Amino acid sequence: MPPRERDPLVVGRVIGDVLDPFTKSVSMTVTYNNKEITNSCELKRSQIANKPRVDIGGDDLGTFYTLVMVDPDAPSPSEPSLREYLHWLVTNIPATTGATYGQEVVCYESPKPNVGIHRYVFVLFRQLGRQTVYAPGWRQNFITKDFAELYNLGSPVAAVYFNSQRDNGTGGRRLPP
Amino acid sequence: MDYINNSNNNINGPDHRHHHLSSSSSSPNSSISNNNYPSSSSSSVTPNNMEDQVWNDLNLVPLNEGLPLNNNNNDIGVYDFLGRSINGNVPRECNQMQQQQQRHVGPVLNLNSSPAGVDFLADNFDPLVVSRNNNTDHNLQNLMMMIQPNHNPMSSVGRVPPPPTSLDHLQDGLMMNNDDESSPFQALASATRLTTTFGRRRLQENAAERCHSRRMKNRESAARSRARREAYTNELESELSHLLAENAELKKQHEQLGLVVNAQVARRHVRKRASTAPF
Repeated sequence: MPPRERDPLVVGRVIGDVLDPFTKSVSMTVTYNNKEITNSCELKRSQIANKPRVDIGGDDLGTFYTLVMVDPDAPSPSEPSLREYLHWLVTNIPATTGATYGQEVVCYESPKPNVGIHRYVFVLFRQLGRQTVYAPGWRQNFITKDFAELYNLGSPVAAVYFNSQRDNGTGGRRLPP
Repeated sequence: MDYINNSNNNINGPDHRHHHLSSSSSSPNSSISNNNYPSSSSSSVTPNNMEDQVWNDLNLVPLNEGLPLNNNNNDIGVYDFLGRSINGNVPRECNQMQQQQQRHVGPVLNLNSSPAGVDFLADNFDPLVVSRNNNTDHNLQNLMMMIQPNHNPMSSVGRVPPPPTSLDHLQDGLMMNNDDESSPFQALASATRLTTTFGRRRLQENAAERCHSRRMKNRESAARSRARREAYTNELESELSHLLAENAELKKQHEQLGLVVNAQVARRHVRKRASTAPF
């Protein structure tokens, strides 16, 4: 367990922009096309077009988890006016299984980073019990912290993130209008 | 997977830049002053630096920096481009400034408070009479029309041709009162300075803001880039140490299992011999 200052989630400002500090307690593996993602790795847009495989740990099949995938850098990291943009929301995932065994409340939307290099964060919460989660009215400006509070999810139990950008470069600096 | 991939080439380097930038942000009212820009000997050649150098050449003395107003009641002091007061007052600081190569001392004219300065440039006004009329806006508009907006950063303001109409009056006025400057060239130059001051200052302020905000954005982007790279490195390092530990653990287990297997094999040999012994 790396000291707090060296935690990639802290250094990459995921803890700060999206989450509060937490202690990881459940394993979570996110795999795109047989490639497991590690924090701050870079994936191409073509690689993340389809939903990944998500395997979670835990021990008791009676415990359920919620998975959230957000982009805190929408529409661009320097002007994140749409922070956070919700890409995927799956609830009632039984422990030791995967996202396919849960309910997809908000379906997976392929990330299309246009300007700058975006972070995409997967967050796992433990549910108190099986519960009904309602989809928000829109994907943008989804606040993970508020969502967790609303559904009594508490602190996250796992999180991982990756970076992605346009295939042909980051779209660079736009000239002022 | 290029983590050094940084679309902004201006990675924040030596601290002297930080220092200068922070000093500029702490005094938002002053426009560009000399020491906020990297010198021309800076090694990174980017469009930002070039533009900075150009603005360096063009910079004006901000409104109240170092030039005290005219001692006579509330009149503004009018200075020609050499920094000497046309009205005969010579502030000490101007002499120092004359020696700086790239610094032009602009006239100290307050856009808001005195119609007098603006009236210089309208027709039929005696330049030295402080006018009471409220027609400032009209005069300003005249001014703005006369000024050619400079979108090309390479054009020096000094090369903007002065409008012909206002020149004569100004020239007369200046010639009248300026004992030191008797050459028409200097009067012409002063006229140019005066006519373009207002517009130029606005353009300059806008450009300064833009430069500043762009620099801030670039800094943030560079910081994000560094954070990204550092996060990835930390992740790899922690994974590496985790894998090394796992590897060591597995090797140890392997060795122990190997010992167990060998022991069993040995026992089997013994048993074999034992089973054939009675015959």
